[in-house]
Amino acid sequence: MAAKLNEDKLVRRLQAKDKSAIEEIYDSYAPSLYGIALHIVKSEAIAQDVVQETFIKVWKNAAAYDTKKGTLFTWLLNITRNGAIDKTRSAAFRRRRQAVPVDEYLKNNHQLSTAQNTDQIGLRSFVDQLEDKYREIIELAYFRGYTQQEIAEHLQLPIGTVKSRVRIGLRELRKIFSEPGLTHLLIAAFCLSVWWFVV
Amino acid sequence: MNKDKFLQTGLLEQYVLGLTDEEETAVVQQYADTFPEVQSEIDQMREALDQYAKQYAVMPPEELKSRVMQGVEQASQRSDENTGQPGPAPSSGANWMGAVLLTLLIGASLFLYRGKAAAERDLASLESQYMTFQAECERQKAALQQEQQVYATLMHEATVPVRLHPTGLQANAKAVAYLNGLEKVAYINTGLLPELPTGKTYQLWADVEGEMINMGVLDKQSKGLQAVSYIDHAESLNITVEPEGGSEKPTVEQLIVNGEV
Repeated sequence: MAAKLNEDKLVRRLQAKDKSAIEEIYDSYAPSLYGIALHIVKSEAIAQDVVQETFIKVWKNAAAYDTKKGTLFTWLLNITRNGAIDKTRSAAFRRRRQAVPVDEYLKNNHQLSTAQNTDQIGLRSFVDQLEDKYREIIELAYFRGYTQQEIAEHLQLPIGTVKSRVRIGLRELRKIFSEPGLTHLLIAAFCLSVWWFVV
Repeated sequence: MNKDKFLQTGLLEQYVLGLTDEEETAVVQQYADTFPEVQSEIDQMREALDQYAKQYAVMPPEELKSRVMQGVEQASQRSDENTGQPGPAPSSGANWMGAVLLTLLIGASLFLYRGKAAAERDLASLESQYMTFQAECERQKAALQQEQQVYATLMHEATVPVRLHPTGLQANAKAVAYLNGLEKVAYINTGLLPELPTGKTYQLWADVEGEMINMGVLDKQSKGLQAVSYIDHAESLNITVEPEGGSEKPTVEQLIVNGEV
């Protein structure tokens, strides 16, 4: 509740064109947004462009953000996600992608995944609990902007199956991030840090 | 559809993943607006997806922050410039321009109106002058035609001049008549006759076998040739002084000039 109030204050400052608000938002969310952009575009340079463009859009369109419609992070995430997906659809991006040999692309991808923010590693392993068949559908829909039809074609599945996997996948995801799940995660993280401190 | 059934359709899950089309999106938003439970479901699913997305978090290079802040700075300067233009100052400038333009238009209208009125006056005056000039032309033309006619008659081979000499009443009185028996026209030059007192006029007569026949009262104003009636078989021409308006019979005592034809 206190977090929500702070966020409202932050949004009001942003909407009043207070530049320190955008700095604060950057400090809080830049790693998540940059990571998502990188996950989608697979290029540090393009991901940086995406993040910069995201913050400029946030600054310009702050008045359009309605706190009742969702959290600030959801809004930021959607702008970043859409910006990054748009980049992957541009002709320039495709040419660039074709120019990178497959081996190097995979290696880069591996480097990126090992460069994850250490704070999030525990969470990541937690998410890995989600079965691959649900993960891939969420990935295609959420990070590549595919339609259900495109997902069905890409995975060679009937559209009905895609729809039911979307439903179950989201339900599973919610279970993982439900209050008890997060509590478990926090306890695990706490125990880990205590153990690290003791040892 | 009731909200519990709606929650079972899977449409909400598709909606938060951005998989719904416009129509479906509108339906979901309608349910979310009507039922707080639906909105709460959406919020929870979004929260789960946010958490899912956060697993990819990566520390961006330090220079990205200064790039972002620079970008924001530039964007806000641009938007200041943009919002500055349609602001109150330029709009009052536009009003000022409008007022000047209106004044100019009124001024120009008055100027043009005055110009038009003056032009109309000039036109009327020119039209009147033109009418006068045209009438004068017509008059001159008629006069010229008459002169030409007279000249043609005088030059005609059948025209004979008749000199009228003084009888003794007025020593220096003279006149010349021109008779054309072919065309039956007669002219007389009265310029050499002396001035008459008021109430008197000169009259021309033709003597035909001892009888004096009236050829016309002579115009005192005319200093040149004037047309008179042509009388056949005239033996002599005679001019007498008569009372104003002329007489039926000549006053022989007042015979001024005469000449044999």
